[in-house]
Amino acid sequence: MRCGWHLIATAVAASLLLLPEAATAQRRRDTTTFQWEAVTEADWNVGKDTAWAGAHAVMIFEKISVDERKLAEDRVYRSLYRRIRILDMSGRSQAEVEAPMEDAEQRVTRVIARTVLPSGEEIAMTDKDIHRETVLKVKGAKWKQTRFSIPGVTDDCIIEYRIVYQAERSAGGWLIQKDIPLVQGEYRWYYCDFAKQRSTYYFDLPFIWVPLREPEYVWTNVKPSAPKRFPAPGIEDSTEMLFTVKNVPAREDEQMSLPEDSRVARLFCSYGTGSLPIEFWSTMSSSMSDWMKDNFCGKTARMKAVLAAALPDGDSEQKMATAYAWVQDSIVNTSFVDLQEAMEERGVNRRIRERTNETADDVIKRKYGWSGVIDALYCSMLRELGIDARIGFVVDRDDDMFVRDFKWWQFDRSLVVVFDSAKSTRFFAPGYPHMPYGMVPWFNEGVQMLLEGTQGEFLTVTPAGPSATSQTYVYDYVLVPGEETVGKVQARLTGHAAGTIRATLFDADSSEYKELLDTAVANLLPSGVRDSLTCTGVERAADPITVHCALTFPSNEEQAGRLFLKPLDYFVSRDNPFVAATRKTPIAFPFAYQRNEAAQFTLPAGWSIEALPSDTMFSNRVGKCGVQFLQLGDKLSVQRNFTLNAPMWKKEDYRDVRALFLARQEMSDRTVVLTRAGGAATN
Amino acid sequence: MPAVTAQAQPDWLKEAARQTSTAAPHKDAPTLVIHHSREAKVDPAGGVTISVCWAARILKVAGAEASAFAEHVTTTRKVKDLKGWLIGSDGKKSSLDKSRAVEVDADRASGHYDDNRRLIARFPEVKPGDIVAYEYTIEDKDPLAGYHEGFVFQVSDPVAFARFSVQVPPDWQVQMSSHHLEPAQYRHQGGLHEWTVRDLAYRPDEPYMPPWTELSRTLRVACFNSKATDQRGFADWRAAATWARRHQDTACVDTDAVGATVDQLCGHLASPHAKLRAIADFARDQIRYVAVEIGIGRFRPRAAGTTLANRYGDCKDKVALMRAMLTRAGINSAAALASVQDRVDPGLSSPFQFDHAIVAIPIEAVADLPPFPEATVNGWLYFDPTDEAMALGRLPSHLGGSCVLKLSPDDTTLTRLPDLAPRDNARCYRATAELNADFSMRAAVTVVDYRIRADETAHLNHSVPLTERTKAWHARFANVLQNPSVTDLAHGAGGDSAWTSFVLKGSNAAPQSGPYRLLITDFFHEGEFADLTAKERFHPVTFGDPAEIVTDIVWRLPPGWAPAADPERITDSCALASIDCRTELDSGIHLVSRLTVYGGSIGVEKYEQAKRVNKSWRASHRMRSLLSHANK
Repeated sequence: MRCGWHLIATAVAASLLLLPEAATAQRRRDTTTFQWEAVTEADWNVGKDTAWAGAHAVMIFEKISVDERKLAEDRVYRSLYRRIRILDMSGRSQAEVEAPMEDAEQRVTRVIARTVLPSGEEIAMTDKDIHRETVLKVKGAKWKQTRFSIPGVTDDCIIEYRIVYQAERSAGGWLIQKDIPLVQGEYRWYYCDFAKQRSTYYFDLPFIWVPLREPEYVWTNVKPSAPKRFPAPGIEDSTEMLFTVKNVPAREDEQMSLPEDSRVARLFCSYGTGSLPIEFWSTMSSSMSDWMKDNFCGKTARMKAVLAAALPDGDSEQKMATAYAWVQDSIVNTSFVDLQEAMEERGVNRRIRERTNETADDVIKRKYGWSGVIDALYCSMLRELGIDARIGFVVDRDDDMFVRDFKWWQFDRSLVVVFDSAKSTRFFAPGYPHMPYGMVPWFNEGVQMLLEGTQGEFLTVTPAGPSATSQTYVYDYVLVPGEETVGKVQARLTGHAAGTIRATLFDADSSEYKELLDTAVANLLPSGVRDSLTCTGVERAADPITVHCALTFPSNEEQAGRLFLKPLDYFVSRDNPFVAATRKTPIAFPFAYQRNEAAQFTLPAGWSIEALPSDTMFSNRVGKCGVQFLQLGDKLSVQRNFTLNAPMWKKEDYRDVRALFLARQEMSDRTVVLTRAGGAATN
Repeated sequence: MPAVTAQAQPDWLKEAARQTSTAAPHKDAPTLVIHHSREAKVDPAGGVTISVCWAARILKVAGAEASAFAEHVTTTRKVKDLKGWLIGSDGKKSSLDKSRAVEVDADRASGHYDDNRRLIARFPEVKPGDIVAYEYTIEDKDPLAGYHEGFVFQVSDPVAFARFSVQVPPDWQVQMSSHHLEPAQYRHQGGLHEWTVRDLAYRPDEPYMPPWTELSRTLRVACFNSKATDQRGFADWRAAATWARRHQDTACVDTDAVGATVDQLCGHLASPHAKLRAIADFARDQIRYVAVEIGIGRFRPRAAGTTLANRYGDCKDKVALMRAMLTRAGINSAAALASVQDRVDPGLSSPFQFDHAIVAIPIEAVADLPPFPEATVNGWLYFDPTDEAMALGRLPSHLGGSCVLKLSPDDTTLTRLPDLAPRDNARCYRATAELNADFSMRAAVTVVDYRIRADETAHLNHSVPLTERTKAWHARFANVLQNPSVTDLAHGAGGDSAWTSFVLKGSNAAPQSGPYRLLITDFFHEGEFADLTAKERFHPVTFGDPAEIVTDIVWRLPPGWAPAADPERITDSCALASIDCRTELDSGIHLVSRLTVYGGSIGVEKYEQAKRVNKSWRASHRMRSLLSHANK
């Protein structure tokens, strides 16, 4: 379960505050007269050149108009006009169109569409072709969606459609990159003049109150260009920005990459302070710092008592570790567990009504809090101990990446940062249950962190090195030609590998434990059929997890008196995700790790090793891997190691990443030749 | 929280919980259905009322996730009086807060519009050991489809008790169709028909098993009153066909636009066969698949002129348009109802067994029609204009051997379409491969497909860009060869075949082992098929549709290197498939293998034969050739 600052920020974004002096609401109808733009020779030629070779369809243009001049009255008018060149049969699917979802705050007011054939014939969509369906209905609310299939579409035509809708909220921006190429795009933003509207939006977090009045924009993953700014034609005193893009390729998927939202071309449009990003983040940072100092740490008598009672004498490292354990053990983390159930398990049998904790002492008194408050409590305790500790904010990189120029609260989670005397930094995540001392969730490693009490600077959360996540496997297999290979595995896992198991099992009760364990280890063990699975060490975050199980694999077939054994088929297996020759986006693994595997194969009676592959070692800056083969009497010993040095790599590093994984794949194909005594027929 | 203070539990639930309290189902079963009853009562004035009771003991986490209430609803089919209970393994009881039920669009898909919704409700926290139960009533006012009811007694989960009953008014009759219902007890008294099963054991998922639609224990009933003045059900296939034909023919109307299109397509063609082919191609290629199945649109096609103007339609729209065009071209035709999902039971004369429509053309109507034995039965040629790949004269594999209802006024019969033969779905992989001195390889590859498979490949070549097809071939070799590359992709088609050719390169195609090199002799198939390894078998075994796969690879070896072992030969066969694979050795290696899948399934008693053949073909696909150097 994820819960944290992101949800708070979302809640705020959804309840942007409108001051009472807003103008009186008035109805405004969409009176725009619209005419299709003329279809040109250039439109017909799209796709005939080589620029978009292989595309089934190309979007000739997308024109979006967003009118937020009445945003202060909760009225926003948007229109979307797309023209698409259909180039073959598969491209016809572009004629199946879904308008944005409708709810109490947004509704589609007009839809028109048509097909234009090369002959010039035009086929207009009629109202009966438009379907407005209830997608989801619950008591008191409905979500509807308008969908339509444009008629008359051939595999060589142009289609176009326009959707007009009205909403109560700001549009937020433009998702530029599509599943087909876009030749020309424009986004016309009639923004709200808050001064004229005599109103203001406020950005509301527990620690900050910032007026947002200035229109702002940020491009991502596309060459940025300044918009044209001008008064809207014929509209008195209005203001307008026109953003344009050209020749945006279609989205493409690559394995082991960042979340799609962070890879595609986007334009964010929002209202802000008008300040530079560094000023904005500085304000955020210092406000958070003030809140910690003046509010959260305003009452600390209980905290001091806890520190006095719970902490041993010793150096600051011991105290930090003890405080960490105390916070995780003593405070119910309501972001991850049901408060009532957790309290009952602790012997509290009265009905608990969850209340907001304002201070560190509130948290200690009530013995519960959400993950952000637990982080703040731990940070406060460290400060009380005289340690330079601060709160920082990060995104979860498996959801989205942080955009520094986009001045909006994008963070999902807080962490605690400690600066030691040598000014090196360490990161802690006490608000994440079962996270070992000194580690943070893997999806926060490598991301930028906004630190409280700075001038808007960011810190990168240093990813844990490979030794922090160690995976050691010992296998013992028995080979019998023509029969299934059976064996045992013992795995010892630390760091993030252990964390993924703990995250699955920490809240499991006895009725579901075994099943969840099987799911949790599925990707951490060899691919054979598992049996007799057991696991120890889950309870304490600091402990390694040890997994034992029996494994069964399909048989090896004898071939002319020989067995060709690929020993690494019985190891933890992974396909090579980097078979493509080139790379367009950065590479993102979950975490760095090192894996050492050692297997012993008992050979079938009467069989011996005829040939062994060579030992091999490969190493580059991305990582290393190696494999060794050895005959020990009637047994075959095989060892493999693999190390990935870091989780995040630039696309420019792809050559090295690919080389490492190709080397691993090549080693996986190494084959041992076994011969039946006197049985092999050799030319 | 959708759970509220517990309402009193009904007696059926108490009894079911008591009777199954000591049951010990299979360790892999996610739930044990302790009670499932569905009592349907037919209203002579139209419609059906169904009372449903369902309860299950949750055994695994997956079972908890599947314990939600979900019922199909439409504008004419409503769920009423929904109640639910959760009995925790710790004895705690709570009831379902039905105000939290959610109605969602059931099968939302691009280009598909219908009335179908799904009403869903669930308890927030269900854990293994809990019992979940629901009780509700369905009112189905559909005047025709409501009389066709189905009940699934069991798919996979064990069932302690299940009962289905249908109560019809006097003068009404019931047709029934059952599948794997041998354990059921049937009782009939007056207008009441009742089927009961008890203690059905868990049925596991297994590789190479027939689809669950074929294995599930199901019952379908169709009720009818042949004496009614207005239509109340279908007494026989003729009545069903008459009803369906009326809908089809209403839409199959010639218009000026239809005529103009036919003139444009066929005006220059003298041959009836050429006209038929031109119209078939048009209906298949130029009308994109869009289904608007709302209200009567579920059964009645849109007018042919509308479909033509829209350039879109579903299967029955395409059929109606194609027939209107054929009529204009002077070629007689009929619609035929088919089923893609379920097997049609000839004993149940209900048009609601079908979910698809195709076209039937009397061959006498096309004087110069060549023989198309794969798609012709009793003088009628069948064609599916919805399948984008199939040419006139061939049917998609999922229709092979299935029953269709031809809606001809003169000749309404249930017809079984021709079975697919292995040669109708054949592929041949040919490669001339060269192993270089550095043990990289280069192969000139040609893949030839025949008949149905050729149609599918030709369609793929036409609709998927070269770059994507190259990527797909590349992905196929990515985990077999080191660093593979696929270049020079080309394709073509002619007669009943289609071919694809490319150059395949890879490094380290013969990994080292001691003094030897182990050549990956067959690089086409490694990892392509699942393994049959379990000691015991529950379900029949099927290797899928009939097919033939031939592999022919000639390897040239680098100077000084030669095969170090005798030629290999693997042959095996059973009722499902045969494999014949051999290598011939000279200065190089020549591998030829032929895998023939005959289709159908075999019973558990022949599992060992299937397992053995599976093992043989796995061995042939994983074959390695040991190479040694003359100087080593």
